[in-house]
Amino acid sequence: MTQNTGLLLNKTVLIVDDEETLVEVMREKMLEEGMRVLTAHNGVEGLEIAMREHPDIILLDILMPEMDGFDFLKHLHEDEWGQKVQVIILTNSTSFQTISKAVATGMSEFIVKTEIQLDDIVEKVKARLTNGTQIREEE
Amino acid sequence: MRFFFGEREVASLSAFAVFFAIIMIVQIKFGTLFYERDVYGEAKPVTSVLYTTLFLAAGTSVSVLMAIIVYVTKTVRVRAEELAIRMTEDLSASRDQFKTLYENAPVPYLLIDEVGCIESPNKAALRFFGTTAEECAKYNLFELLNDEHKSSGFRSILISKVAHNVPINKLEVLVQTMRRSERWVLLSIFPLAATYKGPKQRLATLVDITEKKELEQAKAEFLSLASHQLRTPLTAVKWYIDLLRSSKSINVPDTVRTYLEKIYVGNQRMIDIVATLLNLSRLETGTLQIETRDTDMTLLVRDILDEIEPQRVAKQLTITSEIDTLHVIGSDPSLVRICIQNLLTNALRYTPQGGEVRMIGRCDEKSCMVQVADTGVGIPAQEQHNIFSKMYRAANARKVEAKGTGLGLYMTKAFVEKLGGSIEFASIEGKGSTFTLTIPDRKQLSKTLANEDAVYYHSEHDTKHRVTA
Repeated sequence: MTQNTGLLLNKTVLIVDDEETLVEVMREKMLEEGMRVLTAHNGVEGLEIAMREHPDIILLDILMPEMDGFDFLKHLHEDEWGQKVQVIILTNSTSFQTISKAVATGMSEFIVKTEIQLDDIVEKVKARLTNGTQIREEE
Repeated sequence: MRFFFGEREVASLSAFAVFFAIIMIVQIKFGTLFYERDVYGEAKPVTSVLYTTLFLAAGTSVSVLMAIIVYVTKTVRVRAEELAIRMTEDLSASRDQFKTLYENAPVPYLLIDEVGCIESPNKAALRFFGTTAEECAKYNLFELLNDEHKSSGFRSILISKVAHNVPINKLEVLVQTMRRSERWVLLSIFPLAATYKGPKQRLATLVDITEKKELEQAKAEFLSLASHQLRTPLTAVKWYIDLLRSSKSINVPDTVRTYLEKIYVGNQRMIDIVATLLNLSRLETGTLQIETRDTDMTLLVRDILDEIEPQRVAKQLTITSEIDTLHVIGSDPSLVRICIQNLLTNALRYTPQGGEVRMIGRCDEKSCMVQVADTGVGIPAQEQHNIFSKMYRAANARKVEAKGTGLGLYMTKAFVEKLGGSIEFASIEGKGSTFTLTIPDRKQLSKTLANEDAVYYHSEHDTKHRVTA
């Protein structure tokens, strides 16, 4: 893991989640990996920061006040940069509607929070930031 | 006599007696009615006492015979009339009974004709629709059925079944009413009196299950909400332990590290229980969705074996597995995972320290078989028929392991059956148990069941959107 740390160094991650404790622990972890971390507690705030800061990857919750994750994605996709940015959906809602809606948005990975370890999130972020762009170019 | 003979019978018998007496008198007195021929061939009136007596006897016999015939006929007729009266009374009594039952039954009853027009709604039916009998008669039952949630051909299939006198048994449908909101009902339709030659009617019964549906919905919503609410703090605990475990900057003493492991295991158990409850509620409310995609069985089983490795090590068990020849099949990986996980967890749980668990996997063109055999406590013969029941745990299992929800095998069976497969087992108490899952390749299955609603198939290039539900 240590040899890969350089990969995430100085990359920017935006965490959009209304649950403060979860934002904090993810922030801690990503900082430890050497990333620059931005946080937002709802979709509106998240969208504003995303447009301003153009992070390399976004970790997105679904059920949030003000603007939920789906609306966030919809607005994000209206932007040229927003169509290309990597997004990982992290949620605890496993209702079929939520899942199928997430899959229907196409570009996103959908992860249930209780089913993943913090280290695995880091791995996924790494995978996204290295291979993700290549896959996207091929498509 | 009067009791058996009516006036008509007495009159006709008397008339016959008088007629007979007149003949006798005329014959004896004048000898003008009956003649006999003498030796010279001359006709002479019959006057001898012998002939008169014989004649009289014959007459009497005829009279007696007539009397008997009249008596028997009369008796039979009286009996038949009595029977007819009684049957009519019985019939009208049972018609009244039927009418009272029909009218006042708590369940809405309707009679419909062969195309579904409503004819005789009972009181419960009028209450159900919130309308009058006159208004109700203007409607067609089939037009009141809401088919939004059903496949498109649902209504025409139903109409054709009813037209061909096929009974409909407990079909769950949403029905529109005239003055009330839509109601969920169990609809049954039976042809009435197959031998009756008049207009063909069908009895339709509508058991209102709206309240049950609403309760189920509320239960599902509660479970879904509760699990979401519970999952957030459970995630927080999990991730903070992750952070502490892997942190390079925080120095965690060994004792604390051990405690952290224990907290982590406890937390993980809660996460599993919440997931189980959620799956259970989905199963019971029928909201469990099957998502068929390419499922690499070898990878899946390896993954599960990796996951349970800490438990295996803790009990010093040996797991031997023959799973390398398993195919990639079309199935729902998350459901298959739960099934195999449950069987393996049980095998580990109920096998004593140092015991052995064997996994065998084989595939043919149509399905995969996964077998888990343990050398554990086994299932007592008298409890074997119960092991798939919800919340059931065998006595010896409770002794070995106090925790356990009794939901594992119940859900495994339900899930594997949802996937179109089956589960079998063999067990000897004290020796061990062998469970065998048969999981069909739904790609093959959907060819034969092309019309089945629940089968979607995602092609391979979709699978990169990994869905972990």
